[in-house]
Formats: sequence, structure tokens, C-alpha cells
Amino acid sequence: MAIIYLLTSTHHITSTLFRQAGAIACSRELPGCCCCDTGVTDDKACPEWSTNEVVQLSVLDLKMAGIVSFLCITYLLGALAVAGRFQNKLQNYKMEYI
Amino acid sequence: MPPLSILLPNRTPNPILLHGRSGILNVCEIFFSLYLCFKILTAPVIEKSMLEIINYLLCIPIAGCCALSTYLWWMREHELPYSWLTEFFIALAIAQMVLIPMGVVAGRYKHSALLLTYIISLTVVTCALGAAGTACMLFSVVLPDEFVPTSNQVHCAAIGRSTSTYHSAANWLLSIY
Repeated sequence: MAIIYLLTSTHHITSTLFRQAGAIACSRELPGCCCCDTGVTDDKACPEWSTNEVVQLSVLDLKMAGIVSFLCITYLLGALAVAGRFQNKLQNYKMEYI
Repeated sequence: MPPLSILLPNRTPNPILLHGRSGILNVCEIFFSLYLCFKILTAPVIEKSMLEIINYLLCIPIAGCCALSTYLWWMREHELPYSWLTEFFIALAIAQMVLIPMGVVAGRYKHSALLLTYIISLTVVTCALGAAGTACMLFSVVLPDEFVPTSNQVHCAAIGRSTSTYHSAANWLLSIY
């Protein structure tokens, strides 16, 4: 489902990011932007950073987010393994009355 | 008899290879130390408080999710299709914060039903984090392929529109989208 959504929304992503490249550069406080305070919202807000450069930065952000997510998963998998082992021991626990 | 310098050529060691060797040696030492600790402490002692300690270790992924949502906070100001990732990471951090006391209580009081709830919730959170990571990676792969015009495309556009500069051709390509 996620992949279908991703493929169908690609065109929307393209147009959105292209239109907002300057605004994104301003909101990320990229150095050298001249016209962030003038109220311009399209790519003229930060002509120093090209659309391709803003896209590359966004790609880098997403890659970092993906890597950190997968690193965090290792801890969760560890907790899951320990909890499963604990559950298994709890089920095999027997009490004998003498 | 030939001189010794011919028999043993003076080779300068590759620094990358040296670092790699020392790294592998360090990893081996760490694993050997872990093995010794396991032998000294014995499995029952370790497993006694393992569930409690592993829950405290969950603070690391919580910090990771919080850091990611802070790092991607700028997305909230724009109508990007992947802006939901910021809120999603916050939600995952909150879910893990709820899971920590649940796991500690389940481990301490050996409550079977609570432990089962904890395992199911943890599985859901793990899958959600995996989905978020996969979405990030997919978006990062799709974005450059879709956005950056190749040099051939730009060249064709420049010829087709009788434009001489790269920027005007690129702008024309962008207007197609």
C-alpha cells in the first residue's frame, strides 16, 4: 500500500518540492539566502540555493532518517527477543505443592 | 649472496588495511570480554533482570525518534507528501515511552497478560518504525530520479526551446511538471 501511495504521489511530490524549493531553503535556514524576509514564497526566496541542491539536501535528510530508524529497530528487536524468552519461561514455570 | 634489501623489499603498510585489522581485533576483544562476563555472571543471574534493563535501553530509540522529529521539523511548515514523517516519529517516541513502564512492571511482577500486551505492542511499534524507515529510504531513492533532470534532457530541452543557458532549459523542464 505504501509503495502504491509512493508511486502515485510522485508527481505531486515533484511539483510541490519544485515550487517550494526557495521556501524550504529559508525554513531550513540555509546560509546565504538573501530574500527570506521579503515575503516571497517561491524559488525566488533563496536564489543562492538551486532546486537541485535543495532536493539533494532533502534526500540526505531522508536517508539519515531511514538509517537512524533501522538502527533503532535493533534495540526494539532485542527487547522483543528478551520479552519472548521471558514469556516462554513464564509459561514453562511449574509450581509444585508438597 | 644477494643483499637482504632485495630479498625483503621495503613495503609501506597500507594505513586503511592497518585500521581495518585493528578494528577487527578490537571487535574480537569485545566479544571475548562479553563471553567472559557471561561465564562469570552465569545465565540465570543475567536473565533475572534482563527484561528490566532492556527496557531502560529503549531510551536510546526514544532519543533517536525525538532527534529525527526535531531534525525533520522543517517539513511541517510545507505541504510535502512526506511531512507526516515528523508526526509519525513523535508518535513512535510516545508509544515507546508508554512501553517502558509496561515492560518493567510486567518483568518485575511476572504478569503474563501484561507481558503479552507488551510483546504485541512492541511488535506493532517495531513494524511501524520499520515502515517509517522504509518510507524514508524509498522517498530518498525516488526523489533524485524524479527531480533532477539528466544532462541529456537538459540538452534536448535547450535545443528544442532555442535557449542557450542551462537555467532556462531547466526551468522549462520544471514547467512541464
